[in-house]
This record gives sequence, structure tokens and C-alpha cells, in this order.
Amino acid sequence: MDRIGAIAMLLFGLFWAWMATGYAMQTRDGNPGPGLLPLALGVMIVVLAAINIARPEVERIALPNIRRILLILAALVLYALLLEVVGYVVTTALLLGFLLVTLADRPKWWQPVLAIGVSLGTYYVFRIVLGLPLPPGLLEL
Amino acid sequence: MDTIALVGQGFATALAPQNLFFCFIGVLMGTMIGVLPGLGPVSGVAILLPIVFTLDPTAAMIMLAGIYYGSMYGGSTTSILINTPGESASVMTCLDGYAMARQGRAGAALGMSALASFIAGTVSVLGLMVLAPPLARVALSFGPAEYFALMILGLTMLTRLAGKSLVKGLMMGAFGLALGTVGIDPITGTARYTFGRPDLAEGLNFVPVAMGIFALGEILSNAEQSLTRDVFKANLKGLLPTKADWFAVRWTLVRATIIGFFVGALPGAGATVASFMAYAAEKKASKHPEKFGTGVIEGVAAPEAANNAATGGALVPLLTLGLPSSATTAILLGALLILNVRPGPLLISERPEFFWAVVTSMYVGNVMLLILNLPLVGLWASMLRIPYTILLPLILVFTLIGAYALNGNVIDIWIMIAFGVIGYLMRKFDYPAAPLVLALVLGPLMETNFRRALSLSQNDYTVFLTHPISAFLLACAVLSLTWPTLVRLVTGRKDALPAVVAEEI
Repeated sequence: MDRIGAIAMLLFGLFWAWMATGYAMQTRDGNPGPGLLPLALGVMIVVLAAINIARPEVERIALPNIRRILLILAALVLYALLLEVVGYVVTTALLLGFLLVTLADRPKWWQPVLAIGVSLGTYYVFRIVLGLPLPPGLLEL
Repeated sequence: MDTIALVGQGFATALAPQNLFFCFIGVLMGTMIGVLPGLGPVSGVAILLPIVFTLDPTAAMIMLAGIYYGSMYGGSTTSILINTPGESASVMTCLDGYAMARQGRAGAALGMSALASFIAGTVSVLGLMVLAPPLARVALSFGPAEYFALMILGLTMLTRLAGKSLVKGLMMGAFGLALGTVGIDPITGTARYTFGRPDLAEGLNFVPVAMGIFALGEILSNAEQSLTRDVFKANLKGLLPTKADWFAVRWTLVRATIIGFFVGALPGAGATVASFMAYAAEKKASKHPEKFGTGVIEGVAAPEAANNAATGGALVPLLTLGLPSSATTAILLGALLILNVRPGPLLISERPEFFWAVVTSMYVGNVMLLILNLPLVGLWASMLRIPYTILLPLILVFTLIGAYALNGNVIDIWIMIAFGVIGYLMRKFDYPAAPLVLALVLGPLMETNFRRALSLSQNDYTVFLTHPISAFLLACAVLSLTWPTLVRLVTGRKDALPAVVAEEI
């Protein structure tokens, strides 16, 4: 099982080294160029990954509750896609509400309230008070 | 300027209302981060970074430092009350702390841990004050070759201590260095690994990367398990340790503070390793070692003193050499660079107001923490009763705010999500995260120093060996990688250092 991780690293190393060959290895003055270090690193990763493939260390890798994790990730991806379209308050309220409901045993009345409250509250504190950029979107706040 | 006068000026700055306020916020957030399981100083500092950038550098650093040492106070609360370390530097406190709680002595354990933390923290700031200026003077003679060698040493030591597998640690170090090359090369202007995206021209901003790996990765790992916890209903009367307790720990505090300070300063070690070593040393020095684990007050005082002393120690190389000794200090370094403060030997001489204000603010912070942690411990305990099903989404929202607010660019959220997945996978496959973060922060600096050293020496690669300091440091680096193998060859024993160090140092 550990081999899968090592193979992934191996592929990454190969990719990295391959891209590095597209950059100059030496500058005009003969100093090390931009490609040198990335190439060396790519090769190093390939070698280390190969060692790990030859001698794997972890035997069994458990994946309990993968459903919940995928759920959270899907919610995050949707968030990133919608954020600048619909605005911070709406997207965050949706995300919070969704997570609070799905993670709990059953839906409760305070979950959407908390979601909306936190979204509005944090928008106020971070954007209005502290001046941080948070997309207003549809709400024009 | 006379040092005493500088210290005085530092205090004056630290006590200015604005800085006092941010110090308070920092230690408050730090305690909260330490208390909440699933959120540690690394992810906590990472999440709060974006807010910090809107402040002036001195206030920002005061706040970040406050979060750092504050979290060492908070972590012990959960260790004692629910046998769950709030962050990895409090793991050892669980052993005797929880045992004491079960015997009805939770109050004394909590009290001793706060007081030990205070004493050790204050002493370590003194150590910082005393050792930093001379160390800076020595480092003034460092050139690019020496800096490069120093960073290599830091990286190898961190890699060595970061986990059981050296191969995986090295892979992560290389991975971090590789990620550091993304962006426009400062020396030649070539765009590397940007795939035509202008957002990546500045390189991968390490803040969303760190937030992804540590905060989001932690959240995803936590999401795997059951989200309920049992909180021990502690009798919190009798908060102060008894005279007998104080008598028992009188040498403990001395030992643990010294160990903590020096271990914290070592590249590759940090508060977590310090707390482990202090506990082990205390047990060995004790007249009743078999009682450790059953509720011995020294078992609480030692790790707590050590992890706080380590924060002072860790700031010595960070501020005087610009060398972070752990993942958390690596993030602090990243923050300082973005704030345009260049830590290093010139910091003390060029910006003494900054240096001394930050150092003196640590005294102030420790006092605040003592006040926060003794009377308010009931408040923190009740925070633990908030179900994780509510905390998880809230923490998630804060990480998202943080990631976006950096540049107002959604790509940072994407980077955070991607590295969240990577961080989760790394935890599953047992790849250590600390070398990755350290390499990402140090990488660009290392490469610049490397190429500068070579251009100064007219492409003579042996320059790293002909400069004595550089050669010495490189030799130490090689030694740090091969040491356990050598030890094993000589004595036939396996390395006894516990492997729990992995994540949040």
C-alpha cells in the first residue's frame, strides 16, 4: 500500500525533472541556471521514491469514513466555484448550513440560524471592521 | 545605544495600548487554539496569518508570538481534563495530568501547568535577551555560503527528527524545495512551473499551502473518526498546587526549563521534542521513577515548563539567524518575510525597536497568560464541551476566510484545498509535513544564497568547503543524517527517539 504513495511521488519527480530540462541549465556567465536545482530535486525525488518502492514501510492503510471526507471536499470545491459568483455571505451560509446538518445526527432548528449568523457576523468583522477583501457578490453590502 | 536603554524602550513600546491589545488577542487566541483539539499552533498561526498582514509589523509579530507561546498554555487543559492533547507538545502532560484529574487533583495539575509554563516562559525570554545579541554578532560574518550551509543543516536536522522514515522525510524536503522553485526565477527572470498562469508568477504562497497541509489536512483526518468526545467533569476547586507540590518540583523546573530552552533552539527540534526529553530526564532523575504515569506532579511540571521554554529558545535562531527550528517557526519566518522584516544578525542592529519590543512583549504575554489560565480555566473547560460537529465547520470557514483574504484571489482557496488533500494523504501514508513546510519557506532563500555564493567564487563549487564555518555546518548536516546509522553500527541498538514528533512541532 505504501508503494502507491511512492509511485505517486515517483511520477511527480519524473514530471518535475522533465519540465526542468526545459529551462536553462546555465546562465550566460556560466553560473547555475534556473533549471539546475529543479532538475536535481526531481532526480532526487525519483531516487528516494524508488528506494521506498523497493522497501515499503507501512503495510495497511485504513480508509474509514471516506464518505464524510469526500462530502467535505465536494462542499469545499463548490464553495470555491461559487464564492466570487454569489458572494461571501451567501456561499458561506450555504456551506456552514450544509456541513452543520450533514455532520450532525439530525437537522436541528439552530443549524441554519447559526450558519447565517456566523456568515453575516464574520463578514461584518473581517470586511467592514478589518478591511479584508471578501467578495460581496449579489448582496452589495 | 546601551542595551538597558534599548530594553527599556522595548518595554515602553510593548506596553503601548495598541501593542498590548494585540498581545492580548494573540495570547487569547493562542490559548483557545491550544485548548481546541484538532487545532494546533501550526494551523492556528497559519489561519490567523492573513489578518496579521493588515497590521503594523511590530504589532503583528507580537500577536503571532503570543499565539505561539499561548498555545503551549492551552494545550495542557485538554490533556489534563480529557486525556487528549490539545497539541502535540502537550502529549506528555496527558500521562500524569489525566491521572491526577482522576484522583480529584485536576485543579492542582492545571494550576501547576500554568505556573510552570509561566516560570519557564519568563526565564526563556531572559535567555533570549542574553543570548541573541552575541549570537547575532557572530553571525554578522556569515556570507552566502555560510547561510546556505546553515539552512541545509536546519533542513537535515528537521528531516532527521521528523519521523521514523528518513527516506520519506527527505522526499518531503525535496518536495518542499521543488515547490519553492515555482514562480519567476529572481536571478534570470525565467518563469518556472507557472503553466502560463500569472497568479503563480510570485510562486506558491506558502500560507495557503501551510493552511492546507496543517489545518485542512487535520480537519479531514479528524473527520474520519467519531466526532464525539467525553469530557471529564473535573472538580476545579483547589487550583493552586500545595506546598508539597512546589517542594517536589523545585529541581524539575530548573531542569525542564534548561532542556526546553536549548532543545527549542536546535533546528529540527521544537516544543514537542523538548517536552518529551524533559519528561524522560525527569523520570530518570527522580527517586521514584516507577510512579511516573500514576499522577506525579513532576510529570506535569516538566513537559509544561519545557514546551514553554522551547518557544523562547526557538526564537533565538529565528530572530538572530533567520533560521527556523520547527514547522511553527518556519511559518513565523514566512510571516516576517512578508511583513518585510528580515530576521538575521542585522535585525538587532538595524531594527532594535522591533526586536526589543517583541522580546519584552513576551514577558507581558506570559503574565497575561497566567491571569487568563488560572482563574479562567473553567471557561476553557466548558469550551471543550462544544461538540466537534459544530467546531469543524466553523474552523473550516475560518480557514477559507484566511486563504481568500490573503490576496482576494480564489486560487489561494484552490491551493489550500489541493494541499488539504495532499496533507490528508501525507498523514495516511506517514509522510512528515514539517520538512515540507520548512523547505518551502527556506527553499527560495537557499537557492539564492547558493547561486550568489557561486557567482562570488567565480563558479568554484568548493567554496562551500573552503570556508571553515560553511564546511563545519555541512559536516554537521551530513552527521545529522547518518548519526543513527553510525550509532546502530557501533552499539547494535535501535534509535530510541520516539516517532510521535511528526506533525506539529
